[in-house]
Amino acid sequence: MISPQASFDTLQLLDTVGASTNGVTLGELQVLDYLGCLLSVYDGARARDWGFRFSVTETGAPFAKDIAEAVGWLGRTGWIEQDDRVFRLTQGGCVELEFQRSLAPNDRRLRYLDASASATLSMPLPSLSNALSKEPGLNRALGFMRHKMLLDETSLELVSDQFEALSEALKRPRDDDEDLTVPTVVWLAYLADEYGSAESQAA
Amino acid sequence: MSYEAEKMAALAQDMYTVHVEREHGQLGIERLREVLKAVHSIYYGKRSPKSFPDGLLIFATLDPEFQPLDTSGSIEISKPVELKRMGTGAVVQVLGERSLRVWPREAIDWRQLVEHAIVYLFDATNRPEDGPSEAIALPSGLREIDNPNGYPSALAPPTFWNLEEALDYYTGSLAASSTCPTLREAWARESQNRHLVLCNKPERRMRRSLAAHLRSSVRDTMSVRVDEEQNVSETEPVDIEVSWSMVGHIALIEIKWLGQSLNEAGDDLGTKYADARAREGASQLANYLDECHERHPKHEINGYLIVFDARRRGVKTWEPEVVSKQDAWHYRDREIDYRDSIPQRQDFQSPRRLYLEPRIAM
Repeated sequence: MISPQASFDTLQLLDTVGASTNGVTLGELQVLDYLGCLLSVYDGARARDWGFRFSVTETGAPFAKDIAEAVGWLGRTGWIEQDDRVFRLTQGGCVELEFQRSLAPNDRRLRYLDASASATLSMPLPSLSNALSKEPGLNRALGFMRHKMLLDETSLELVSDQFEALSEALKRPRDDDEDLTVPTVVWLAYLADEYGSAESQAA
Repeated sequence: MSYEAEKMAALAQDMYTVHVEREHGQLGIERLREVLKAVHSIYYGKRSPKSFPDGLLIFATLDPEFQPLDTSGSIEISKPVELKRMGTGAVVQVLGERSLRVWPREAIDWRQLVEHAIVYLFDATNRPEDGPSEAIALPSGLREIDNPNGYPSALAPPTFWNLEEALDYYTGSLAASSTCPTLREAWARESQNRHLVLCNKPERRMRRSLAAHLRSSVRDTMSVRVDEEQNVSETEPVDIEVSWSMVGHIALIEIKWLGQSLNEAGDDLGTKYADARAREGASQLANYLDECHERHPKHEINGYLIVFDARRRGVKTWEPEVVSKQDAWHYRDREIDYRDSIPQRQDFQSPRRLYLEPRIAM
């Protein structure tokens, strides 16, 4: 069965990110959705409530089978189309997305997916992928390849420590009304800075 | 405050998004998103940043109903592609998701807009040394948009679907004239800034510059990871390793430089490398490839030797008085003599010479 959450996430991310990047690849969808999931953790939600799980590829990238299956299914329904390496939303997909946005369970997800998409306006998609690979869970999984599943207890503790530091750095408590754009771009800049390079794009 | 929090706070201090929120709140962030989307749609559409030599100003008012400028002489367009008809500079107001109002670039002072709008500025006339060429204008002043790779626009950098194209772009657009700020740091700080002598141990800056460009620009169906100083052998790490997720592709990049560097004390010439150094790089890379094949027998692995060529003729002291243009440019068209050091194997790509130009007029 196709995950309704993964299906919605794919449509939403293709709509918000695809327009300004001329389409999104499957790998980029995975990264952006994983970032959305982590932002929900920042917001106090439980990772297991995201609706599906992520594993790690051999190069330290996040991968959710549910997203890959949803992309295949959405392509068959005609709601998204593939152009060479990238996927785009079709007119039919726009209509379907409008309907799915109105569904209550998706309301909360929009907050995290939109913050994830916002980050791509100031940080190129390849940079975002590379920065997120320094996230504690992915970094740890790459170091110990036997941990194939992400968001385990230890990784969540590590990333929660970073989120505590983020709240402290921004000098504000986390609340439901807070726009997540600023915490997202600051955290990603911090991760990018882990490369010790000029990579951190001061957004 | 914890170390991590201090580091994040320091980064946040330089980020325009943070300042937009501080000065204009949540509404400011929403308008910033609209402005950045417009920047993307224009630059990734039919107009590159360089096609605005007279500058570009894009703004979105906090109150959508408020019109701060006289609209006479402006036109409303629905697609950024229509900007193609406009001149070499423009003022653009974001009116909504799909509508823009455009004026020819006139002497509009950004200060008259900042209280009521989020304003993006692009100034093509600025040289990198002269200060920001992209900024977000706020009531407190201009917030520079950091451009660590030296792209025409940090907000709409080029992207490439294969490594070779990304390397070609780096060679011609970022390395040749040392446009990349990180690479610029590889030059000794000579009083006339003529790019004749490299700094002490310039290899780290060269590696960082190239790795940052690849990290920002290489896309693929699945994720692409760019790491520096990866251990592929037990003795030395390869400078850059690029790995493609799920498809088992790896690229090993070995970097060498030729030319004259400053000594550690910074008061005299230090290490000098000529063609033999590039030949060393070739055999080193061949060894890395062998060891990488052993570790990843099922992967497709390719090796790239990148040589930053800063050779100059007639440089006898670190801050020479007069260097003729003939001497400065002597090596521009002189290829490296590899003799028989390039192995005949399919995984060893043709070495690339990145000629770093002197700042002496031809």
